[in-house]
Amino acid sequence: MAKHDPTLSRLFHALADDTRRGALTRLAKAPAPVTELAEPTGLKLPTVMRHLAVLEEAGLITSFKDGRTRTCALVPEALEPVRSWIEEQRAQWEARLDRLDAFVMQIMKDDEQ
Amino acid sequence: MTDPKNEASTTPPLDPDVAARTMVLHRVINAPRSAVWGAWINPETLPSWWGPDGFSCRTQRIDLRTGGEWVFDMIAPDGTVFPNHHLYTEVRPEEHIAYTLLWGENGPEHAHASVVLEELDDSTTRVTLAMTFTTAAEWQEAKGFGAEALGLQTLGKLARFVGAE
Repeated sequence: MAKHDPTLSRLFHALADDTRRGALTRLAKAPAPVTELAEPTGLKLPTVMRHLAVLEEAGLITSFKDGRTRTCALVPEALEPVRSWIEEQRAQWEARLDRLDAFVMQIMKDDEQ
Repeated sequence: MTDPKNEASTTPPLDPDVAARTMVLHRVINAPRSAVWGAWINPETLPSWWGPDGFSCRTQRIDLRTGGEWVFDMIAPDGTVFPNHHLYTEVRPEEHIAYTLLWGENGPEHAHASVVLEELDDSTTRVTLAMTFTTAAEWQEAKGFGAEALGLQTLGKLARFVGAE
């Protein structure tokens, strides 16, 4: 994995905000118009649209205009780089714990002798 | 730009990545530095001159000190409302103001700004406003709507406010 992966950085940046994660959770149920996404946030509409732009730039959502309504939808595969990065880290951490486990068992065995 | 007291430039700071998304504006104002500072760090006066020509400010909260904030709507001549939230990270009397710009209260970060006031002589102050946008794309977008000219209009309104024009 590249040391600086701009895609991963953009994704984690996009996820590092309550309002934006809330919008993703809502969109996991079904696509929704911007006004509906704004409603529970208590934030101003232009501010919410800026948050949605961050999600869109990271590739997490897509939006389309139907008349005067802009509707947003999740991009299901967009979280894949995040998932595989976390999986990779977890595999390494668990392998390290397995080695620590084996090392401790060996010491205990040596002590018994 | 030909007018030497009113120029836009992109002076390269050290990091080329930062330079590529930084706008630097200069404005020489024929007023003492204390007068320029007094017009800026004052909750009564800042909202009355802030913003480009024809824009007005509607303040929700204002607290101009290190760690303080200004939550306000900037209203364009056509009535469009731009919610703004400035978080003041440094207010050093008469010398330096640093703040972070959000796209409205609890909005995503838009830019970091730094204002430096230099006393050229007893009655002349040079203002340098540097804005580093969060991404190169935001800087391109800002350029697209004429951020340099709009920023210089704001500094022009400041000059008029302190009676320098």
